[in-house]
Amino acid sequence: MKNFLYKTSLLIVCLGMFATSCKKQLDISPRQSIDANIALKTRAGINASITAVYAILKNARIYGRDMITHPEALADNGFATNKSGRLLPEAQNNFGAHFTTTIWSQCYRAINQINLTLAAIPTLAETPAPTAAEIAAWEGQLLFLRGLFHFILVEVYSYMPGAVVTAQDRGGVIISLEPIATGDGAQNFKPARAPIADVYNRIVLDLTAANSRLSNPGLGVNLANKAATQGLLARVNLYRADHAEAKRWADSCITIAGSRLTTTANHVSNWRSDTHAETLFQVRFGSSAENIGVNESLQTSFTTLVTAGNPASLGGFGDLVPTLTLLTDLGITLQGGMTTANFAVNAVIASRSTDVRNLLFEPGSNGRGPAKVETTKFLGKAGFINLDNVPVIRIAEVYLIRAEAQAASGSTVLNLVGALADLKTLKSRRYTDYTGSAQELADNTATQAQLFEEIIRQRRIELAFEGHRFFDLKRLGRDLVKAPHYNTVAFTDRRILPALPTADIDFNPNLKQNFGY
Amino acid sequence: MKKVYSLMLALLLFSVYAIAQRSVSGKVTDEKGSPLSNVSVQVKGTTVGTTTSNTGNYTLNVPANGRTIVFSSIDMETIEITIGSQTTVNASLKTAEKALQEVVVTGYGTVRKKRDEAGAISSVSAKQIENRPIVSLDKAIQGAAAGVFVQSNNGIPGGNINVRIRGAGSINASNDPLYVIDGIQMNTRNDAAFTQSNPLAFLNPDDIQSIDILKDAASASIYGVGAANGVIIVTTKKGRAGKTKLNLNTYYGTAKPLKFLDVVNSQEYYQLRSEAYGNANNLAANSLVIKRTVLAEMRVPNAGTFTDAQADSAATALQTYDWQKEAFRNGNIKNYELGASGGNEKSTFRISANYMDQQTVVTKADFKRYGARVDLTNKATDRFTIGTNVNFSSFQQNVPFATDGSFLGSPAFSASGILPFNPIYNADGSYYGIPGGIPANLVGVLNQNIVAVNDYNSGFQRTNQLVGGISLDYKLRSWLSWKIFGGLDYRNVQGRLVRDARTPDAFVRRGLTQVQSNNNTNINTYTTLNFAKTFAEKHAVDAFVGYEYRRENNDGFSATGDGFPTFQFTYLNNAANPVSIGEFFTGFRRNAIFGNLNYSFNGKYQIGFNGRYDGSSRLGINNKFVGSGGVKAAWNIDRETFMEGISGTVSSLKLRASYGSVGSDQIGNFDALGLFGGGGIYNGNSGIAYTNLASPNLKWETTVISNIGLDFGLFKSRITGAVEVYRKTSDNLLLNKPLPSYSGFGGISENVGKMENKGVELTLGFVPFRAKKKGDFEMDVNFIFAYNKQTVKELFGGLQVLPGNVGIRVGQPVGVLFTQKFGGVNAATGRPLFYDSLGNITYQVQDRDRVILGPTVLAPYNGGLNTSVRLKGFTLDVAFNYEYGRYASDGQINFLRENTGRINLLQEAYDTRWTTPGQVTHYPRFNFNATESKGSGPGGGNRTWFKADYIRLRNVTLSYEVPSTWMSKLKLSSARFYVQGSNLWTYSDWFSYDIEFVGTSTGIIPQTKNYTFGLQLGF
Repeated sequence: MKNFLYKTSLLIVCLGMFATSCKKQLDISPRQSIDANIALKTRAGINASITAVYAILKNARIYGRDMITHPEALADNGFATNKSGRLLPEAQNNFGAHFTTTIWSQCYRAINQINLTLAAIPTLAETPAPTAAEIAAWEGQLLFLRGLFHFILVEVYSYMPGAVVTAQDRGGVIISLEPIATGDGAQNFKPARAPIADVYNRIVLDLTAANSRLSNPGLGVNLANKAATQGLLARVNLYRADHAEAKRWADSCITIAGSRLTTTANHVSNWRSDTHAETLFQVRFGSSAENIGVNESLQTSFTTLVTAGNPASLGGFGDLVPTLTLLTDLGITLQGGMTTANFAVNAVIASRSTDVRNLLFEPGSNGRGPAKVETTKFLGKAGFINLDNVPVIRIAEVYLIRAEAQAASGSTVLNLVGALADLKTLKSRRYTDYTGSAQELADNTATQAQLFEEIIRQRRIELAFEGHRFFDLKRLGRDLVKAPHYNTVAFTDRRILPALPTADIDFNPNLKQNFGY
Repeated sequence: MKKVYSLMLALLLFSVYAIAQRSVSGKVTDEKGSPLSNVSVQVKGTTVGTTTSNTGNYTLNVPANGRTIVFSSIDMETIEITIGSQTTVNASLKTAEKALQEVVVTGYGTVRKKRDEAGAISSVSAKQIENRPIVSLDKAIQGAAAGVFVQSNNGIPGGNINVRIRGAGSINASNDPLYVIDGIQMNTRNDAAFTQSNPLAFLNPDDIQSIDILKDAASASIYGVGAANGVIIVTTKKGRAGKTKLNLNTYYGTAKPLKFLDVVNSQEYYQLRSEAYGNANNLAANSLVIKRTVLAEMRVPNAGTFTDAQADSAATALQTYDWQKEAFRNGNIKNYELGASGGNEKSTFRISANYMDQQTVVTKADFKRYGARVDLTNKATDRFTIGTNVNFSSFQQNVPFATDGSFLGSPAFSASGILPFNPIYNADGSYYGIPGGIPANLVGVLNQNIVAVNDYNSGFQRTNQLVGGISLDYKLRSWLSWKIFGGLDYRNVQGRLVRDARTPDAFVRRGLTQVQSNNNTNINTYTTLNFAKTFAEKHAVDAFVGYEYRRENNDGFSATGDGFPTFQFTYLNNAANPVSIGEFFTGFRRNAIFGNLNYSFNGKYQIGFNGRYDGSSRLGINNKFVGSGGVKAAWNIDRETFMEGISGTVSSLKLRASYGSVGSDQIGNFDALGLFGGGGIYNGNSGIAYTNLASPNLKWETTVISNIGLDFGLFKSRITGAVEVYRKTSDNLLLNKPLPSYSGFGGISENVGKMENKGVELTLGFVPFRAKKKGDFEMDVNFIFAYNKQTVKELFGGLQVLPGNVGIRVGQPVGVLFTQKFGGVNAATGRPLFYDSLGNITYQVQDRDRVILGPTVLAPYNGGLNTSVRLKGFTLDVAFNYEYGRYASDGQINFLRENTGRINLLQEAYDTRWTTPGQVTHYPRFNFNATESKGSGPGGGNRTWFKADYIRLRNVTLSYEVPSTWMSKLKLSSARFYVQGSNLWTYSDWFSYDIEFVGTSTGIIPQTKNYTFGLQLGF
């Protein structure tokens, strides 16, 4: 029995050894993530966080694809070929086919990260301490990006000032300025949609603050810079029909950006290079690891071609191509005439006008069905197929903004001579025979309304397949006239605005869903 | 650990050997006096023992203190004979009543007589699963145990199998059961990047002796936080003392497609595509412009200038090519096993080796396994036993284009949908329509020559797995023993995927290669102190207490490159562009103390307790530890004196009840931590972003199961069965609780919500014919039925629907079908109709028109039927399984029933499509634009959802056992031949390849129909 007691007590001691340090045995930490509390305590952490905000712009639901494809598909520029089936519902304006809820969630994800980073900058305890210039560069970029993300949200989800269907207006979007870093913080944040005007005011505030912090040329066109900020301020002000501010920022932008407008001689070659010379800000797609790929990249969305002029080699799907009306504006005539029957079969271009911009449109491959005239603006310019930088704002647009601001009815800076001068500056760089042509003569003698329409038409041509058309029609309160391909969508139709995420509406009783959803 | 070994050594010094002994011999016979060979003869309370020879004789050296000899053999009742001074002891053994012999394994090496166990435990024996052409054991238990729902994801040998015990209690946390193989809690996560590699495929199912499934919480709670979804305990075959036996087992066979889909020919396609264009453009389908357009699209030369007559004759001349016949083939199945087992009273062993080569209907999914097992037990002293078992196996799978999904290059997806006029080969036998050729692709959305793609692409997925354990058992007293166990489950997964430069996906990028490597180290150790004693002959007590530690580390590496010099080069060092590299790590730690106590009074009344206290690294900083436990009780009514009179009618009767609670930590390893991780790259820099919100109070999910069961045997066990009812309530669900997306976060892991599963399980056995002597006609039938009702009881914040997921609603099962009802086709226009919220028909439906239609994930009713018929040496085994009550939508079929003609079409859809006003049908008119203007899409609502009920003839085996009289001439101890068929027949009206799938079946490699012939020889 003594023996037994001895053995048992040994056993108990032994088990005790196992059982001590129970809690320590459970220690394990992740290795490709770090504690959130220390992440933004260093200079490098702040830089990496800003990088991640830019990276969100590349999302296929933002500038990776949808912000470029959808304004073409939803409006009258894009015809869906049904070669992969993508973008067909959007081109038909099917109920519910619109910008998706991911653009909402990703933009707010970016905004929260911006807010977290802005809040972390003053708490940095690094030696040497960040210089004023460093802080200005950080804050300038973050404020530019916060303005841009709020702007994306409000242009997608809300009516625009000056073109509001009042009975259906549910306001702007949520303005998010405070960092959220806990589950409770996220659950207790139950804001309402701010009025449209408030959102635009906030965007202008952020962009103006960014403008005072950023320099020119600053960090280059892949990152926030002063010229881009001013260009964007011009656009935002045009969208909210503040023509004086639009003109003021356009003036300043054109002054500091310098002479970047391409000419008839180098317009096409600029679209073949990695970065277009007119670019003020672009979303950079730099390495093959960033490639969105064969299903959803801009190249595959817009063209079946791998290289220009070689329809024998089949690349992507070519899901969205110019409509007959856009082809007409571009000065392209199909063999047999501009009919749906000729449009349905393999496209052959019978003739082109003197507009060099139509050289960025050509028949694609017939490898996935009848060849269509496709845009070659996105052609794997960054070195790999399906990898293209995405221009967000080009100087040509700023000229058109300034022209429009001075020609719009009700403009406080109405100046038809100034508007015409900007229009002609652009057109003489796009039409090989513009100077002295009948077209120039017509422009010279145009009425205000005719001039305004020509500016809008030039926007359609100049910015075709760059993600503008739907927003232009929307801010002008115009119907989406889609003949002869699809039915017209009236401006008062609920399909002009997309649905907010239902899940967020369920969470937050203060958040109003858009009309009709 | 070191301390443990030295302690062990110290304990050894206390052991004492008996010295004096004498010789006893005798003969063992059955009831009729025939000699019994291989009967174990043992001196009670010692390890001294032997087995009887072919003539039934034995000789044994009995120690001086030996008082009793125990005679035992499989299928015979064990008897004990007390010996005096005599030297001859004969014994006669009676055939055992089977039910009384059955044992169950209840965890941590405990084996209990089923009669004495009160928990809800199902057992599957080796006989039910052996020699089936199945690569992993989870598939083998389909239809074999009540309340265990098994679904194949697809037909990839080694593919994932979905196992659910008594429904599913969690919404986001894992619902997979815990697998414990020979004491090791297995890692069952699929870490293969390029195909599905089921980790359980490492084990040859023929090495399994028994599978015991702990279904109630009172039983499963002994395994703590891993066990909330039930425990599947696998015990492998062991050696037995006696002459060394050699077994050779081989089978050979073929795998055939279950079916080919009936799709339209080229002329029919031409017609439907014309209708699609016509209806979209308000033109007649037979107008010349449409004929020209369609023929031009089909690459008929000069179609643009055809006259009507030319177009018609061109259409008639179109050829039809059968892509399915070309893409699918018959695969070969080969399996070889060699085993040896035996031993003496001191040591027993079993070693086995197996090679399995299982092909399937798609060449790039072939499976090969090499495996070897060693199992050794040594009684070092009377008190000290050492055991080990080690399993090494390596299985390799070919990599399919994709395991599922609508990938153009995937033969499983595209074969049925490629437009039928596309040729497969050029006239010279080379592949038609490949990049660089003329033409460079096929016509249609499915424009890849999948036969070429499948041929050119390559890759493999290899899993090397070492699973082994060592156990030390020391008897402190006859009633008290101490056990230490250490186990390792190590797995290395390697994968390689090559998209060949000659295929469309890699032509432009000049070849693409991806590689991965993943190492998982799962270490299990435990120690237990086991107690078993009967007091005053009536009070039987057994118990154990223990401590356990488990850790798992997983690290992986991956790399991708493209731009190879020629297609012959596929290794990454020849890649021009390193596209991406990746590395990651994860892991968890758990520890626990646990205990178990059973008490039985007079064999009539039993009561058992389990308790366990777990720590888990996965849980929040404030809630690292969790308790589990349960109580169970049973009453063997048949042992009551008042039952004696009717024992002829009621041969056994037992009432059981249990109640228990188990915590669960089945979430991501670091879900409770606030983390910054990779935030993408931009402009050549790498970013960091908030990837996970901290959840410091995250605790375990709790599953409480109450269970009542009745086991019965009637008419001398001619009818046996068990009825069981249970209620399983899961509370504080580990939910990835959605957050408002405007907060910048998608969700946070929190304990919210409640789920209930309740159900009935029925197992019934009949023996309509029982053999009076060996070789007589015998038959038995087993029927298994289970009903489970899953209900989400509660979400959070009073919400009735989980934000962002309409399939999770209070009062309904998870994944309930919630959509609009299809209302047929408008006979006047051919457009699809739906019901709106008021019950009116409409072209365009909205969210508010959705209604609850039924479960889609778990079938509420499922089970099986197994029957066995024996005559002379012949045995016929037939096994069915069935599912009932679930809706499913088959993605593959949805593509083949589109109304645009962008891919090929099912004959059924073609034959029933709307073509003329007044026609009443369910299939809308064709339209190039798919969706009619101002209408909802034809794939909307519940039009694509159908009842997924089926009965499947899972397995038929006819075998012949060569009579023993012939055996001796052949110098064999046994010989058995068999032919077998799997999935031979299915009762189901499902359109697609296979009714059995999980999620969507788009592009899955379907299961196959298998025929095998096998031979088993014993030496």
